[in-house]
Amino acid sequence: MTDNTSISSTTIARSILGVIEGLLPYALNAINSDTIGKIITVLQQIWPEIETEISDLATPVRNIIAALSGSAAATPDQLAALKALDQQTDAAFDAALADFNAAHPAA
Amino acid sequence: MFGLIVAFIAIIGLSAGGIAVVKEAPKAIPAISGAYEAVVNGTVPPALIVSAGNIFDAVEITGTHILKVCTPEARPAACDDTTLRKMAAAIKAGRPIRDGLEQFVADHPGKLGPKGAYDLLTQSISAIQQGIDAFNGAAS
Repeated sequence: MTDNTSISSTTIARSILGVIEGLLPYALNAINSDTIGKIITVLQQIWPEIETEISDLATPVRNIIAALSGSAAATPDQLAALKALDQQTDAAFDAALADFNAAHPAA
Repeated sequence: MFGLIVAFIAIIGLSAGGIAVVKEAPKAIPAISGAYEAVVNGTVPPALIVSAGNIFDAVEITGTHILKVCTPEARPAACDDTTLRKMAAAIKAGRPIRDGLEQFVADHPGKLGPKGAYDLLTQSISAIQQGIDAFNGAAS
């Protein structure tokens, strides 16, 4: 049986990630605070959907808002949050990949 | 969902040359100063490195969800093993780049980071995103 709920969630996630990914070039080319401000405003607008529909993405998006809202220098807190997220994310992915490989051995 | 639509409209506004759909940017947001010069000089502000690291984690989280959806025997038709294995390989390849960039930021507080490594990380993100897009395209 197809897990339609999961597919729906990944579709929403794709949409939101598309927005986030699309922001990077603008951030990189930003020459004034207005552009950065618009980027953050967009993220804040989609925040309710992120929080309710795909809570797993709430942490990275929150971190992005924090990083872009601060100064050019990343703070130790931001780095600590990112490293914690790295470990948690990697562990979850490794577990899912191990299950996938066990269920579907490479030919 | 309405918020998503508004967000996409805003993005279109940004990409269409700065037509500001979002009219009021927060006043108190400090600029990422010198970003233009950073691009020219082959360096990247640390805030963008941190953001890219978070985006990498976000696509990895989405990839994890897709693998879970595709693991049971009765799985959706959108699950293509070749695509999924490519996506997984891109995630594995991107991790050391992400980790290296984050370590650079930690070791060099306030310094601009190497754009070459940053570009590699964004390329990894794009490769993972292609796998996600392929899954969602097949699922829709």
